[in-house]
Amino acid sequence: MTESAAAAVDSRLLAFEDASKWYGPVIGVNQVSLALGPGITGLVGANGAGKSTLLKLATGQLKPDLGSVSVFGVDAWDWRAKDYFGYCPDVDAFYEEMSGAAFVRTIARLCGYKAGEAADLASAALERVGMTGRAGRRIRGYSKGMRQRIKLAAALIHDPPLVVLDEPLSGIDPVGRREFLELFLALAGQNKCLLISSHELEALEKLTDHVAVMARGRMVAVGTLATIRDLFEDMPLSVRIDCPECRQLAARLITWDEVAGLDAGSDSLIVRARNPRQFFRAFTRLVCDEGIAVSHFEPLDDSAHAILGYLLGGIGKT
Amino acid sequence: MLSIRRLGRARMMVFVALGLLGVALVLVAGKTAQTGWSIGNLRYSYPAPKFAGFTLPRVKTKDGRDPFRVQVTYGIVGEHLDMIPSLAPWAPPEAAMLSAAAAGYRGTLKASGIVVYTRAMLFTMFLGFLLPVWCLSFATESLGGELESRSLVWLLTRPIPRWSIYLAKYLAILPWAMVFSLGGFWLMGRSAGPAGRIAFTLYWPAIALGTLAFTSLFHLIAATSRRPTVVGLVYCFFLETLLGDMPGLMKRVSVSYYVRCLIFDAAGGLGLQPDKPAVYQPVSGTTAAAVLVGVTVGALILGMIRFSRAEYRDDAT
Repeated sequence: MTESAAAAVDSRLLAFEDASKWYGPVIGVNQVSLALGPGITGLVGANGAGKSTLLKLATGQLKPDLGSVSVFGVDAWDWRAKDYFGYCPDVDAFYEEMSGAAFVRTIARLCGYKAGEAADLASAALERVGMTGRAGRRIRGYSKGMRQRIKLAAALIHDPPLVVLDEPLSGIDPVGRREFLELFLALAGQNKCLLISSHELEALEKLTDHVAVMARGRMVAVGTLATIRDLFEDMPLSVRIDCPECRQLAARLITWDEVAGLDAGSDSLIVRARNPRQFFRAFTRLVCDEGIAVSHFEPLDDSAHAILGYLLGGIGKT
Repeated sequence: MLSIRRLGRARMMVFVALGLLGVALVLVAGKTAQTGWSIGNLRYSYPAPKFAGFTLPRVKTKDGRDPFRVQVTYGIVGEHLDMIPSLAPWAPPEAAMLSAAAAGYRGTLKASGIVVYTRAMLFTMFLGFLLPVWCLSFATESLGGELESRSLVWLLTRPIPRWSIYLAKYLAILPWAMVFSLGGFWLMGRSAGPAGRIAFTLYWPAIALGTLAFTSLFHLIAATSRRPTVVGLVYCFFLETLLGDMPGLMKRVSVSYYVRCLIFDAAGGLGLQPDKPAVYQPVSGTTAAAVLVGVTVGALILGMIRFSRAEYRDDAT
């Protein structure tokens, strides 16, 4: 492979090209095109939006009816593609009679490692997910959080360049959640590609600002939260500004083209800005030039929650 | 190895198989202790002999018996034959002939045990019920259990060709199915006495080939159907039981027909043959063995192709 070809593949670790998937008359994924490179991408959407179908297409559990899905340039359905990814499923299914360590070792053996290697890799993976001391117990007796850790260890066992995680934070306690987020960031730091489907948007926001939003089987938006927010021209960004001279400031701002409207209180106002970037620039200049004392400045609806609300509100929840 | 161990942990299935084996052993042991396996206890009746050209009138008693028909067992006939040489001062040649006839009859009675055991236990209970049900329970649990518990996802997302997963699952079924079918057959043989021991020595290759074919077939059903147990049971009790006894070519779609043909072939010298050979039309042992191997390999290849192409959704339990 030439250097440029390798670079091209590297930027497309996981690629969907017009992929569609039907379940009988119901469409699961509708003409999705998406290319993911190194880094963390959050996959968000309402229940039934097609996220799990998309992840199953990515992990070769389902075949697209139209289009293609490839991992490192290999068709995702092909068993060879499975060398390149680790998968943490949302289903809580294990070989319950095994211990956590035996389960992870078995997964390593299924990845083609010899017994000795598998044992070493399993130990390393269990340590990575914080399960070293508890891996000898049977999975049957594990809590939900411990089961999530074992699933994650199984996904990371062969150190894959692509990690697909379906609701990895479900059932994890706050301490474990912090550890998981740190682990995900460390993996992204190793130039790995992480595709994380989660309903926990606050946690996702701590990990990445790159999201793919799905609704009714379609990929409705892909990019950073800011880029996606900018697309809502008809949905002005609400910004809360606290300052002692609120009314005077409101009188100045209402004349601006970038300001669609505002609600003024005694010591704070909510501004609805049409073009957030221009508004921020102009407001910064105003504050600096005229020495206005601003004690608090906060965009209210550029969070993933708000963006998802706008997207799904516009399209309708599925 | 993982699949073999997991099958062993499917306790309910193993208990069901052991329970069936226990019932069969009790039945065989009971029959062995009570009457044994020869035709000595079978009754037959014949009309009372005519006396000087006078035939007794044909009437029946209240319980439906014809009082002028003689009912005896084959065993009593043998005892009478044994007594004949001592009833009169026979000349040596006649006495020797009568003793030889009695000895021959006794020998035939003794040798009939394997025929009775084969027909009563092997064809009816073992081939018609136990063997298919054992194979079915292990074959459907192997893939069906993983589908039901949704743990198949761990195999399907590993870098392993799908056909090899299917093949590994089949190889994992085999030790269990073989242990139960051959082991069960051996235990039944031990419980049945000499007839059962001879039957095991003669028929174990037929049972082994039948096990291979049944497990391969039920494994294919498990890979193609969402309700493999139901489909498998319908196959067992409709195709195998009903069609297997049909005259003409219909019965040739059943696996048990070829196992029976192998058994007829193996027991050729013992007088075991179909009730109506012209209707049953058994194939030769070589043909039957070839068909059973063909079914095994064919179903295995079809299953591997099917499993390689099929999607198994974890919500499709």
